[in-house]
Amino acid sequence: MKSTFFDRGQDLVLIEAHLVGPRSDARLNLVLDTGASNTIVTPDVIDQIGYSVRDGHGISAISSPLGREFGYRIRVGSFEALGFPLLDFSVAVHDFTDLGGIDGLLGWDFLQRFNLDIRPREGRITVEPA
Amino acid sequence: MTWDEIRQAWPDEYVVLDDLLLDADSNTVRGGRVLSHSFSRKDAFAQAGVLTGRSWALKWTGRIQVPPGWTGIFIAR
Repeated sequence: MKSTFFDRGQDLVLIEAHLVGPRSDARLNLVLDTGASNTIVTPDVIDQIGYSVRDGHGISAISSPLGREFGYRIRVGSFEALGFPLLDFSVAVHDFTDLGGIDGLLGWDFLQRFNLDIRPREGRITVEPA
Repeated sequence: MTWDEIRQAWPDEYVVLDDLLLDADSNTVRGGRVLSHSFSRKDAFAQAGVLTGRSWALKWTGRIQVPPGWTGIFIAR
């Protein structure tokens, strides 16, 4: 079991993720979102670690209160969050608003692999492999 | 610079860091060298230059601003 702490001062739960691509590796903050079926990362970061739409393995579409938007799917060499790395993890690549600090979502496709205990008052998440 | 120093120096901005200081327990960023800072993610990347071969981090120093209309529900296909 591993524990991850998050900033209780934010309105959302931010989790640091570590992505390894062919050109570089990056750490960024994703919003933990149990209502998101897929993990989503902004294309700015995907581009910087060395992937492009040409490396994609499919089209992605998201339906949100703002409408339906299209992006693409890509397999990231290594994707780590909450203390657990996954190899060749598929993420959806969609543009997020450039202002406001939201660079992606940690979605259910990642979270469902584990048992989670989210403790908002402690600012802590404990995770164990399912 | 530590993360607290970075937040004080550039509040409510994106920063791109390398030479990362990582917390030994959580393996998360606690500081680093600031390559660029901007209110815009795209500008921060543009100013950071080439990141090839580096371990870097993109961080936001302020409070998260949720766009109007967001509910947190995204259904991807």
